[in-house]
Parts: sequence; structure tokens; C-alpha cells
Amino acid sequence: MELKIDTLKCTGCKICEFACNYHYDGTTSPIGSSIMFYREEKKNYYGLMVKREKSLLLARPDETEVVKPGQQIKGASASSKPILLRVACNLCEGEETPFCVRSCPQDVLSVE
Amino acid sequence: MDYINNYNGTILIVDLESGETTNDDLEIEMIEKSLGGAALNLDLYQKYADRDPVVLGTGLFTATFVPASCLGIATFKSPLNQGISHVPLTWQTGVELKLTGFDFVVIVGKSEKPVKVWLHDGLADIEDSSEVWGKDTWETVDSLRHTYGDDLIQVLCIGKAGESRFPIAQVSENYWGSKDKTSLGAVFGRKNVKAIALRGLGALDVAEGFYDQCTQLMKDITNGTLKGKRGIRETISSLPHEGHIIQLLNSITHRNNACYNCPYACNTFVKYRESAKTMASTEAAEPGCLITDLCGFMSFSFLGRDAAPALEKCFRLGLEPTTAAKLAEAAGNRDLQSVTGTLEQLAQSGGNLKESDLPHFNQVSSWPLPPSLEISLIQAFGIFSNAVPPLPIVASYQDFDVKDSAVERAEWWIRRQSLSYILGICPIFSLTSPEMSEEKLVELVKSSTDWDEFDLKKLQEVVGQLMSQSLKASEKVAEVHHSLKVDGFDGAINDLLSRYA
Repeated sequence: MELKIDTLKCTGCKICEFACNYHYDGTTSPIGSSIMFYREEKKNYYGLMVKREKSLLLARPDETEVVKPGQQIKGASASSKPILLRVACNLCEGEETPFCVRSCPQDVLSVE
Repeated sequence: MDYINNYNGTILIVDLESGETTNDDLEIEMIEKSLGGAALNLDLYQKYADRDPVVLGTGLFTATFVPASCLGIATFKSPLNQGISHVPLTWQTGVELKLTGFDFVVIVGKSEKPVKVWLHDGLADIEDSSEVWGKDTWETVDSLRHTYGDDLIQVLCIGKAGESRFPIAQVSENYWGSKDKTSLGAVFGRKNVKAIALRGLGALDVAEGFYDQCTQLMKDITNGTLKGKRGIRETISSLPHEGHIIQLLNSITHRNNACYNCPYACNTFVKYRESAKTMASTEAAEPGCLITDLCGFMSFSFLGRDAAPALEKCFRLGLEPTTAAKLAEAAGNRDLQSVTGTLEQLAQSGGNLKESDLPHFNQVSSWPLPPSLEISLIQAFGIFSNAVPPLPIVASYQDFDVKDSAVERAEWWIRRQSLSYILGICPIFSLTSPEMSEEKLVELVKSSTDWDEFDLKKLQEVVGQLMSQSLKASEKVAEVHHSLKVDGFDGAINDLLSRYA
């Protein structure tokens, strides 16, 4: 089972980050989430990154990429660094549906 | 109420004259009196009234799981019309502000030299801004993000028009202009504040059961009137007779963007320097712009496909787009080149609708819509931003159970706006979704704060207080250009204003 992202449905509302953090510590915040929104704002180029146990899922609007440890991340900036420090997504262990999936108003996220 | 869930508990005072900042406690009694947002902003404005304050505030629900809870609010006296003005800050500004650790920021006095204010992690710095003074808004945002090393910093800044303190100036949220139609940009310039940069990684407590209540409401909303709706096209479809504007958008629409936690992505990015179908990040560094201001975009529609680049030029210069478009059109400009020349001139030398004898409400540009009594009443009322469409969006008056009378319709719009500005909910979204009823909002306030005594009567009392206090503190209300006074206007506006006396 893993998290699937339909990036082009995403409208950039960022609630998935806050919902993920809520799973971990019960607060509203983006600080501790396993999923992170990224944006090159002037280009309107945006998508989501997910920290997984042994890889990083990069859901870009033009392609989805799985990055393994040691691999170079294309187009990474200072803002993308924190994802490497986050805990790996555990699909909200113990919950029927992960919080990010429940919270997304555009059905971008699913578990398959 | 015994404790505060949705707030940090801190008010920041930024004294530009002394260059010092101090923190005050946000007391529970203040929230019990005014809830938050524009109503609490106004309390703080009045407390510091003799020091020309600008109050940036967040609503009780800002940055929570409540649908569309993106809103921050700026409260100040408009140099355009001397009225109290509440400007909605959308996109990520309000959320970022609350997560800096400051619920409200009161900016008083005037700095001797140009400065920027940097709020982050519960810290506030007033810093020299000479490196960005003179730069346009896009260069300013790029520079601040580079300086502070983070692309996700949210920036409120001014361009040349604001630096020159012209009433046509608008404050910009990042690159994309804002819903400031009443010269907050000129107030920033007067205070020598080039920019406020925000980065918030704080955390807010969540009451038990609140998350589930919010997700259920979101589900009801996305299965209701908003089902399948997104993009500025849907907003346009709710306006009378604007089919040609939709055609303008067809070939240039890239993706629709939402503000924080909003199910209605009403901002539309358009590309005109590369194909709108391009999804990859290419070498085109600035391929287009985000239409956040429908009124401004529509006002440039006389340029056809060049309406969007003209809007971008306004954003860069920090000009209020609707007024700028009307002045350019009145000057006989009919192509992008001549409009660009006029916009640059406006940023250098200023300009206004009243002196040019052009249609306005309280000197604020009007929506380019066919005249109707309710639309005139809404715009003449002032206080709230005229960037928000003056009618229901996607839904109808019947969906909101509003009586078929112009004054009742105007009163409904004003009440929906005040609820949004107090609670921190997007004021455009609040015109779309009858599922977010006043009863539902009361339930959410009660459960998120454990405030058992809170009820509809108290909510209506806070709304009424915001209206009456804002009108009382304004020097002039309901000033309307003669061309916009439709039949029955004088009697109807008096009826409307008397409800908040």
C-alpha cells in the first residue's frame, strides 16, 4: 500500500501538510509533516513531495519521480531541504484513511 | 472560555518611530468581546488611533481546518476616502502571519528611513530596506526570498506607486497584487515600509472533535453547490453578461490555484510567454501571471488577450488595476504599448477617478457590470474590499434564502463579508457555499474554543458592532459618482445604513 498523487488535480491549498502534522502531534502546523508542498511561484510550477521509508516521492506536474538515497534531486532549492529531515510517511498507521487523503478537497491523494 | 485554541496569544506592536517592537498578551476577554479578525483589529486600531495605526490581524479560524480559513485582515484609515477600511489578505498571507507566532500586528508611527519588517518564529525585526527601495514588487519578493533563504516566505510589499504615496497604490501579496482597493499601498509608503516578510512554522492547538467537524463540513461543501467548480471562469459565469471574458481566458489558462484549505480554486494562472499547456518548468522564468483580481482583469478586457500582461504590469508597479485600467481607457489607450506607458506614468505621478470625473464609489473603482440597485448599494457601503464580487458566486440568492429585495440582498452580502473578516474565512468563498451557515459557524466556534455560552445572538452582536463602529470611525460614507446612482438609490442606502446606526 502506498500514497498516490494525481498532481494535476492539486490546486496548492496545502491542507495535506497540516493534516499530516495533525496526525503526528495533534496541532495545526506544517512543521512536522511527511508530505510537503513545493512551488516555483512565478512559473506556477507546483506539486508535492512525500518522505517515504527508503525514498522520496516527487509528484511534479510533468512527471512523478522516486528518488533513492544519494541520488541528485532535479531543481532542488533551499526550501526543499527540510523534507529530508522529516519522518517517513506511515500512511497514518492505525487510521482507516490517512489524514491527508481525508482532508484534500480535490481528491488529489489516494492509497493504492 | 478558559483557554485559547486557535490563537498563539500574542499581539505584536511595531513602533516605526523608535525602531522597537514589543509583545502584548492577547487576552481571553478580548476574544470574548470581539472574536477576532476585523472586529479585534478595529479594537486595536481605536486603542492606537492617535499613532496612525495599520493593524494586521488573523481571524479565530485562520490557519485551522475550517474550509477556506486562509484570511488575514489589514485595518487602517484609507487615504483615498478617509474611511475605515478592512482589506482581506488571501493566498497564504494570513496563515503565514498566524504561524509566525503573532495573531495581531499593530504598526504605529513612521520610520525615518525605508525599512522592511521580518516576522518569523516568534521574532520581529525592523531592518533597513534600502537595497529594495525603488525596485518593483517582483524584484522585491525575489530579493527578500534570496536574502532570507526561503522560497516559501510570504511578502506584503509596495512598488513605485506606493513609495510615492499615491492613492492609486496597492499593496501586493507576493507577485500577484491583492484585494487592496483603498490605498493600503500608499499607507505603507507614508510609513516608509517597503515590505513585510512572513515565515511561519508555529503550531496551534486543536480541540477534540474539531478536525472531524471541519472535514465533514468540507465534504458537505464539495458535494454541494461547489461540486466540480473551480477557476475564475466559474466566478465570471456568476456575473451578468460577461461571456466574452471567458473566451479571453480559454487559450491562456494554465492551472487554477487555491488559497489555504479552500475547496474553490478561484485564482487562475494564465500563460502568454509560453504555451498554456506547458506543465514542465522551462527556461521561461516569468511565463505569465496569476489572476487574483477579477475586477481588474475585466477592466482591462478592452485590450483583448493583452488584458493579462496589463494586469501583470500593474502588479509589478504596485498599482490598483481597476482604477489604472479606467484611467488608461479614458486616456484613449487601446493597445498594450500605450497602456504600459500610462501605467508607468501613473506610478510616477499618480491619478484618481474623482478628479477625472469617472465612475466611483467612495473614490474606489466600480465593477464593470450592468447597473443594478443591489450592486450599487453593496459597493457604496464601503468598509470591505470591492475586489470581492458584489453578488453570490456559483450559488444564487435563493440558495442562501435571501428575500427578493435590493436592501435585503445588500445586507446579506455585508453580513457574509463581516463573518468572513471576523472569523478568517475567504470572503469570496463565503459567497459560494450556503452549507457554511451561521448556525454551522456558531457550532465551530463553540467546539473549537469550548465556549459553551456562545450562540447566534453573540455572533450577530459582534457583526453589528463591527459595522456600526467602522461606519462611526469613517469621516464620510456612501459617496457615489452621479452616474452610478440608479433609481431608488438614496432611499435604499439610507435604509441600509440605518440598520447599523
